Amino acid sequence: MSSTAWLRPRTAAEVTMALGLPGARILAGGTDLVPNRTWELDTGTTWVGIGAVPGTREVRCDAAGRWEVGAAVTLAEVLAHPQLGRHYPLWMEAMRAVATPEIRTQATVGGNLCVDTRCRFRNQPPIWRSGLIPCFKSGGDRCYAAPASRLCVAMLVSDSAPVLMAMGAEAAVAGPFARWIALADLYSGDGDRHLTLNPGEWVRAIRLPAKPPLGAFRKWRPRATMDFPEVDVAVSVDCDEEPRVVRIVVSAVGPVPVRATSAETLLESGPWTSERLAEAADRARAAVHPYDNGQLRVWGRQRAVHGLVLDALRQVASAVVEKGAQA
Amino acid sequence: MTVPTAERITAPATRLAGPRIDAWAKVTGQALYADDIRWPNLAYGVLLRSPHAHARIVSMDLEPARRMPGVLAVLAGPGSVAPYGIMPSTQDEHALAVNKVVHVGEPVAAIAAETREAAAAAARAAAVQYAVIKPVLRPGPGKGQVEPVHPEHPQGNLFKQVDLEFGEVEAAFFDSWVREDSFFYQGNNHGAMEPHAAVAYWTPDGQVEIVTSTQTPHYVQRELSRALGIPAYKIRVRASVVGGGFGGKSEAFGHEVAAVLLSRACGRPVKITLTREEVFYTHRGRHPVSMRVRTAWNPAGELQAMDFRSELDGGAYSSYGIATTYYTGALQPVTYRIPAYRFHGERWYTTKPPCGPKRGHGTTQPRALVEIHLDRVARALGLDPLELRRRNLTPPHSITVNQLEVTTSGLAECLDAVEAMSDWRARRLQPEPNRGLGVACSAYLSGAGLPIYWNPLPHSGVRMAVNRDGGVQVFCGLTDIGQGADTVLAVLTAHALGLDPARIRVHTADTGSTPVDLGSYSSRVTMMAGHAVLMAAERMAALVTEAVAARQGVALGEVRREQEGFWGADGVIAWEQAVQWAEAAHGPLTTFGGYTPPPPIGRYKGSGVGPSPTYSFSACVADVSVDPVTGQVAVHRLWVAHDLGQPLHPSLVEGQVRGGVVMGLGEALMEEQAFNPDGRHRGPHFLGYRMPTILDVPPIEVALVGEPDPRGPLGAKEVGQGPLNPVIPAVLNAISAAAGVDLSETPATPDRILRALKTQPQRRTI
Repeated sequence: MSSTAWLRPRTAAEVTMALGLPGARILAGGTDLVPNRTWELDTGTTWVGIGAVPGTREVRCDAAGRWEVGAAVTLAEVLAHPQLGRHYPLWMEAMRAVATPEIRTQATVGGNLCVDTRCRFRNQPPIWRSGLIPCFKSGGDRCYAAPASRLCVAMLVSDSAPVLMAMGAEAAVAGPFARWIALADLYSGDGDRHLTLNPGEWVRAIRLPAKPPLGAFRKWRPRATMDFPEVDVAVSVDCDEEPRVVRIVVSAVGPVPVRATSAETLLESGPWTSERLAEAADRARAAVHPYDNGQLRVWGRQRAVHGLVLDALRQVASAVVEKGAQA
Repeated sequence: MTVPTAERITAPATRLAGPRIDAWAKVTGQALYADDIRWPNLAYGVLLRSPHAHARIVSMDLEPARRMPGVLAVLAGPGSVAPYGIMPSTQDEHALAVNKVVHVGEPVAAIAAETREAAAAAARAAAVQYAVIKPVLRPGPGKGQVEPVHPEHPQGNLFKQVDLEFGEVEAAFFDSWVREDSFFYQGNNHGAMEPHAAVAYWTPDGQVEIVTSTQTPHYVQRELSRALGIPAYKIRVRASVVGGGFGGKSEAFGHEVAAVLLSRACGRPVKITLTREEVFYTHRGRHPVSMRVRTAWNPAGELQAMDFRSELDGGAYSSYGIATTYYTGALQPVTYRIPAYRFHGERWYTTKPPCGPKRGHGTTQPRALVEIHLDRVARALGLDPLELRRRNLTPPHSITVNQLEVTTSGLAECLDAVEAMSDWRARRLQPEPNRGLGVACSAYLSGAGLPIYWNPLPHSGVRMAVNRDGGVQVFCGLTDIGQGADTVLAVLTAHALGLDPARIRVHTADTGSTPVDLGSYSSRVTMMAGHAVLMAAERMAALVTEAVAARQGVALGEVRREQEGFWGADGVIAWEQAVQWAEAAHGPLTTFGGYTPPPPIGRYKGSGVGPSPTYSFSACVADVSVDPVTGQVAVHRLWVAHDLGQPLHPSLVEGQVRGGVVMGLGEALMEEQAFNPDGRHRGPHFLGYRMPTILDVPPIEVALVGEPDPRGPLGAKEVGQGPLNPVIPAVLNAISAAAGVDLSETPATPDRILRALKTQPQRRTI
C-alpha cells in the first residue's frame, strides 16, 4: 500500500487546485474511502479534505426560506439540527437509514451524495479480485454483472440521493465554473465515473426547497441497520401545483436514481384510486432493470420495487388526504 | 417444572455463581488473543492464496517474492510431510497446495517478512500461473466430463455414503398415512469475532512452540506431529485467549503448519493472522444440505416410521465430514420416538471452501426439516403442532431405535414452558394478519461418546495441586473459547473443596503442562472435564481431611467443615493449616481425575456417532410478522426452554442460551455462505455475510427446565449448542404461519419470501 498525502485546503479555490494533483480524492468522512483503500479498491495518493473551507460545515436558511447545508456537515449533525428535522422529515428518514450511528457521526452530507458506486463483482476483498480479469470500474473492458453492457452498472447506494431528488433539491458545484445543479444532473449513468463533475469540480453544499413536497421513503435491505440499500424508493407529490407534481424515484438499482416518469404521468391528474396506485407501481417496476450485483437476488429486488412504490404511494396518498382535511 | 433462570440457580449451588474468572482481563484488554501476542524477534507470515476455485498450478515463480525488501522466507507446497486431517481415516490436506487448487483461497505459498505489509507485498510479487478447470459447485455425480475435485479419490466426488436401517421401515410405510417433504439448508460460517491466528516458533533445539486460537490443542498437536513428521512430545500447543470458535477452530489449519515451517526456515518466531476474507475461505462451517424426509403415521397421530435422506455439500476437503454425514441422521430418534428408521446420507466434494462442524454439528439441518415437516403433518392431520409433538416425544430413560441411550428428558416440560410463556393457545385462536407463531423441538449431545481417533483413554484429565499457601492449582487440557470453561473448572473445584473460588487458579489448554482434554467441541467440556475435576477434588479433599483426622486423633467421619477450614478441638483449623499437615504427611499434594463416557451400546458400523452420556432438550416458540409487500420478517419475540439438568452457573448458562438463539436466528433469516458460478464467495466479509445486529434481535425469554441428570457432574447437561437448533425451524414455521406460504430453503431473506409469495397459492387458515 503506497503512502497517501492528506491536504486540508482553506479555500474553495485551493480545493480545486488540489484536485488537480495526480490521484486526488475528496476525503470527507472517509467512511467509504478508507475501507476502499484498505481493500485496495481505491488507490488515490492525495486525499483532499474540504471541512476547512468556509461554509462547508454550515447549515443556514436564505431569505427565500431555503435551507442550505454544507457538504462537510455530518449526518449526525443534520439529524440533531433543531430546525431541519421539522422542515424536511423525509430527508431525515433517509439520513437515519444510512449505515449505523457510528458511521453517521463521521459520514457527511456531501459524501453520502457522492459516495462511490458499489457492485458485488467489484466491492470484494483482495484475494477475491486477484484472479479476475478487470471489469470496467477496475480499469478493464468488461462487466460481470451485465456482460452485454458497454458501461459499468455498479449501483448508486446513496440513501439521500433519491430523497433529495424527490424533494427537488439542488447541489452547489464548486470549481472553475461554480453553479447550482438539480440533483438529478449530478449523476452520469456510468457506474465507473458516476458523477457528472468535471475535473477540479466538487460538491460544496446542497439546497433544499422552501416548501418541500409531501413524500415517503422506503429502504429495502436485509437487516434493520448497517446494510447498504438493495432498493431505495422515494416518492413525493406537490398538490399546490396544477397538474400535481409527482416524483417517483427508485434508487440502488443502477448507477443513477431512476425517475419512473410513466408512473408519475399517470398520477399527475385524476383520482388516486387503489387500482391506479397499483398501476403506477407496476409502471415503476417496469421502469427499472436491476442487475444481479446486489447481495439479495435480482428477482427479489425487481419485485420489491413494486411493493415499495405501492407502499410509499399509499403513505403519500393518506398524507395528502390528511393535509387536505387540515386545510 | 418451569422455573425462570434467576430463581432456579440460587438454590442448590450459590457458591458456583459469581463473575467469570476471565471477566476482568477481557473487559480491561489484558486478555491476549492470538494476534495480541508479540514474542521477541517476531516475524510476520502471509499466505499466498489461490484466486481460482479449481485450477492446475502450471508454474510458480517465487524469486520475485524472495527479492522483496524485508522478506525472510518463502515456501511453496506441500509444506507438510504427510497429508493430515482431523479424522484419521480421511486425511487429505496439505498445508500448501501441490499441483492443483480446489477452492478459492487455498494456500499455495507462505511468506515470512519483517512486517505483515512486507510479506503481503512479497505475496503480490510472486507469479503463479494457473490453468483454470471448470469448478464443481454442486454435490452429486454431475453431468459431462468435469475433472473430479480429487482425481486420486476412488469414488469420484463422492466423499462418503452412509446407509442405516433400524426396524421394519417398509412394512410401516405400506399401511400408514405418509407424507414427504424436502428442504435445502444453506451453508453458513461461524462468524467468530476473532479471526484465526497463530504464533509459532521452531526453537534452535528442534522443539515447536505454538500459541494459536484453537478449540482443540490436543488434536492440533496430533495433526502437527503428522504434518511436520516430528514426535508429538516435541510440539507444545497452547490455545490463546479465544474470541469465539463455534466449531470453526476445531482442527489444525494450513496457517498453523505454515507458521511453524516459516519459523524453521527463518529461525524466528512467526505469526500469521488471517483476514476476515481468509476466514471465510478457511471456513469449516455449516454444510449446505439437501434433505428429504418421508414419514408414516397412524390415525392417532403417532409416528410409525421415518425415512431420511441427506446430501451434503462438503467443499474441497474432508474435515469432520464423516461425522457430519452421520450426524445428519443420528439424533432424529432422540427427539421423537421413531419405531422404524432409515437413513441415507452422502457427502460430496465440491470446489468450495471445506465445510466442517458448526454449533449443532450436522444435527441443525435435519432438525430444521423434521420440524417443518411436523408442522405440515399437523396441518394435514388437523392437530395443533404442539399436540402432535407431545404425542411423539422420546420417553426419558429409554433406548432409541438406533440404540442411543436417553437418560433424563425434560422435553415435555420444555414444550409446556414455551406454550405457557408464549400464550400459545390464545394467540393462535386470534391470529393477527400477517403474523404467526411457530414451534420446534430439539435434542443435543452432552459430549460425544467416542473420541475423534479411537483410543481407550480418558476423554478428559485433571491434575490438581494444593500448595502450602492454601491455593489450589487445577491443570486441564480443556480450552475456554469464550463459553466459560475455565470458570466452570474453578467453580466446580471451589464447590467440591468447599473453598472460595478466589483460591483456585486454573491452567488450561496447554499440551506442555496439562493432562489431555479432547477439546471444546460436541458440548463435552462441562460434562467431561467437570467429572474429572470433581474426581480430583474429591481425592484432594480426602487427603486433607485424613490429615486433619490424624492430627486431631479423631475418626475420619468425625471431621467437620467450618467455612473454608475445619472444626478442631481448640477452635477452627484454617484450610492452610490443614493443607500443611497433609503436605507434611504426603509430600506435595497432587491428585488426578479422569473421565471416560459410558461405552455406547450400538454395535453397528456408524454407531460411534450419536452416543453421549446424556442429551439436552430444547423447545422454542417464535412470534413473527411477514410484510407481504417487502417480504421482510420481523421477529417480535422468542421463547426458549432448555433442559440442561442442573444449571451450574447462571450467567454462563444464560449467555450460552441467548448466544445460541441469536446465532440460530441469523441462520434462519440472513446468513449464507453462497457462491457465484465461478466458485467465488458472494461476499466474504461482514457486509456481504450478514449476521443479526442488536436491532434484529427480539426480546428472548428463557426458561430452564428438567431435573438433575444422574450422569452429569452435579447433574448438569449441555447448554452450548442445543438451544440453537429449535430456533431455526421455529422461526421458519412462524413465517409459514404468518405468510401462508412454505419456504423450501434457508435463509428466509426478503427476496426468497417475495418469490414464495408470488409462486405459491397463499393458505387462508393456519
